[in-house]
Amino acid sequence: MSSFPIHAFSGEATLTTTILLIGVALVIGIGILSYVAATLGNYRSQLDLVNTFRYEAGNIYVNTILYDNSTSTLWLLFKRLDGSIGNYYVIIESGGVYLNCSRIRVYNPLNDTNGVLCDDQEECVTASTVYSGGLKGVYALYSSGVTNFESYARAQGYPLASSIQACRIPSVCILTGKRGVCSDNTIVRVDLSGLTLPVRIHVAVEYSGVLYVVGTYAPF
Amino acid sequence: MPRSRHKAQSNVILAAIFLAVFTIAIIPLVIFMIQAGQTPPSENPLVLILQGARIIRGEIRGAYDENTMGLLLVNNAGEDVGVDRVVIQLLCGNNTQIVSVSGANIASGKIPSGGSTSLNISQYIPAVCTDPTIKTIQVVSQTGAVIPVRVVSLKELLSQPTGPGNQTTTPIATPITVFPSPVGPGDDLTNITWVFFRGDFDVIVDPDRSMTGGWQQGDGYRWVWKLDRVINNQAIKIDGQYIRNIWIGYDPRNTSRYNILITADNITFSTPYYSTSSHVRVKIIGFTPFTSYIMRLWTKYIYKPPESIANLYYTFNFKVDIFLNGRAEKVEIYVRARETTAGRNATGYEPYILYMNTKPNQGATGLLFTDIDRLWGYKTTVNEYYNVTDYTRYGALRDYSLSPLVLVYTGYEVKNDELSGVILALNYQFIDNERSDQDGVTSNEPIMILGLVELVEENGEYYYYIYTYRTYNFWELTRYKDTYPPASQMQSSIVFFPLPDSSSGNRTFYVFLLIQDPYWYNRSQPTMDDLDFALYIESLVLIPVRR
Repeated sequence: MSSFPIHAFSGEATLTTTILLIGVALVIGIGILSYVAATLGNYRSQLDLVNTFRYEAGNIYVNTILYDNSTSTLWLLFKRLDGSIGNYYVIIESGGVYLNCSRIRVYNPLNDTNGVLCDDQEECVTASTVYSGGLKGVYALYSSGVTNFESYARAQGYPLASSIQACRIPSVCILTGKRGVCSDNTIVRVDLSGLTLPVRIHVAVEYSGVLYVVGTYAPF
Repeated sequence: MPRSRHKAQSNVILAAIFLAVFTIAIIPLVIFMIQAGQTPPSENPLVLILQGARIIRGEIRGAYDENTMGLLLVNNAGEDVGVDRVVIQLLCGNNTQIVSVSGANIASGKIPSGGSTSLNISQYIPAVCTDPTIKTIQVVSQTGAVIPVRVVSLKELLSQPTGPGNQTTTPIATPITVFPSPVGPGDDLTNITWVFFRGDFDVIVDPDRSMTGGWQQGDGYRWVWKLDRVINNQAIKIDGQYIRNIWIGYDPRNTSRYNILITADNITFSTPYYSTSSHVRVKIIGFTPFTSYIMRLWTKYIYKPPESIANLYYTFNFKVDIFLNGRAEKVEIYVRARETTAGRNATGYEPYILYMNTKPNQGATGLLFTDIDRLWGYKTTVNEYYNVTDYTRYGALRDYSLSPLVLVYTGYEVKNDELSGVILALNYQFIDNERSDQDGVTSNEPIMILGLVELVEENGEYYYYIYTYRTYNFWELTRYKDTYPPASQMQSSIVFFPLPDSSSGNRTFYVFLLIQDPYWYNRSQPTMDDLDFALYIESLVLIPVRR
């Protein structure tokens, strides 16, 4: 009768158990690693996004030139402080009504022949609509995070609407074909006829095809 | 080989493998987590915000003349301001038009710092616009600042109101000290006019008709203080003489010395020998004691001058013996005598004024005036005298002013085109010898007057005219002291004098201070109105209030 040494069986069992445990530990470790990597990556990309928006919020400068009471026209000045050439994206609301982009026109000094601002169609280019739809389709930078525009408007006490339009205002340097650093001011005419005050200009930034509101300018 | 040794070896190998795997799995995780924790610092938008703030700091003033259609822009921003465009809101008939003039039409496209530029905008107004009215003008700078230009017509400019709303004032200017008045080491403090002159005062005083006393029955000559003896720079010693009153202060030229005024019924100096049986006033200037104390009054040692000018008079049963030993720069001894010179019946203020400080302040002096010589009295008794029936020397020691001492401070010109008013702050002490206080007088007379005078030329002569003043009358002054036991406190008085508007002409005023003793005695009630007093001017400060 041959007999197996009991101790030899015992050694194999220990080895098998240990290998199994290592396997389990590896699986758990890789799982945690993937989770942490994914979470941190997500966090960092959102941080990058917020930083970009913050930069743009400080970079885009809006000022009122004048409000003409008799024609209910608001003249605004847009400028990028870093001198970069780009489009401005705005959602304008006046007295609870979100404006259509057809009310917004950009002054092109090249087509001005007589000095009178926007007295013919070519002189002032109508802003183009880049988004038309519900409030949730646009996002906003709020409380150091990103939320949708509806929540932002609700939180800030701005009026809500079923549909809004976001408009693209080309920089004057795009219209005049200027290259390099753009130090010219972009003059915008906003037609507020039939509307009441106050006026709010929500300035947005485009990021990966989505609009993010980074600041709100309320001249009066 | 023992089996237990094989088993131990395999355990070690297994542990090593486990550790290796564990290390391979965990260390990269830890490294990754550490790296992930070091997120790049966020772009600080502060710089941009500051830049935004900087570009809206537009300090451009503009004016538009409707007649010439010229626009004047003045740059006070402290740096060149590039003009992007000028936006004009124009009313053409009933239509509003917004006209833009490019900054290229302005010379070099900018307004230089501290400079100005002009622009005629008539050529930019559309031809169709007849009779245009400018509503607003905005200058848009290249940095994005929008600067509104004030649209003014010439008529508007000329009739610009200058009301209180336009005032940006720093109302109170640096205070000017009138008193204490500056003195230097070489100044003669017995010459009162010299000290006033040094302190920028114009002194209005009649040296022969200032102060006088009662008259002698029979010949009608007045009793006055006459300078009997002057001792210069000598050791002096008074050894146990009865005196009536004493005032001690610091010598303002050297605060280790003392200025002293003594009144007595008679006195004898041991050193240098001097003796008089007349009533006497002794002024000791620059006294340095040989003793560790200034002097001894009966059993009381005086180590420093008292803060109150009432502290050392009427002491010890109404007279006290004095022991004084030291060296004096100057001693003046005045005796009461009849002024027999024809046409003169009075003296100047010299016997009555002592320059001193109650505190050890060097370089500037306060002013003590006193005509108290002897004793206090009630309304039913004669002040300065025991005996109401002593008619032969009737009212001899009851001094009074024939004309006041007026000090006009010319060190500061109060001009109404620069100032809207002046604040005068006066610190003083007062004590009188009328123990019935206000009941001891039949009328309330001014003892001190503070105010402003104006120097006016008339027919080639200059006169001071009083513009405004405030009086310090006896009833007010007597409220804050006690005649006996003697007590007085430093009082403070602040007066504001508004000045006339300069639209009625530029005028110059000066601060003046008047001191007088208006009380001699009442001829029908000889125990009334017979007070004498001591007045110490510690400080007088002028605070100009700007327009």
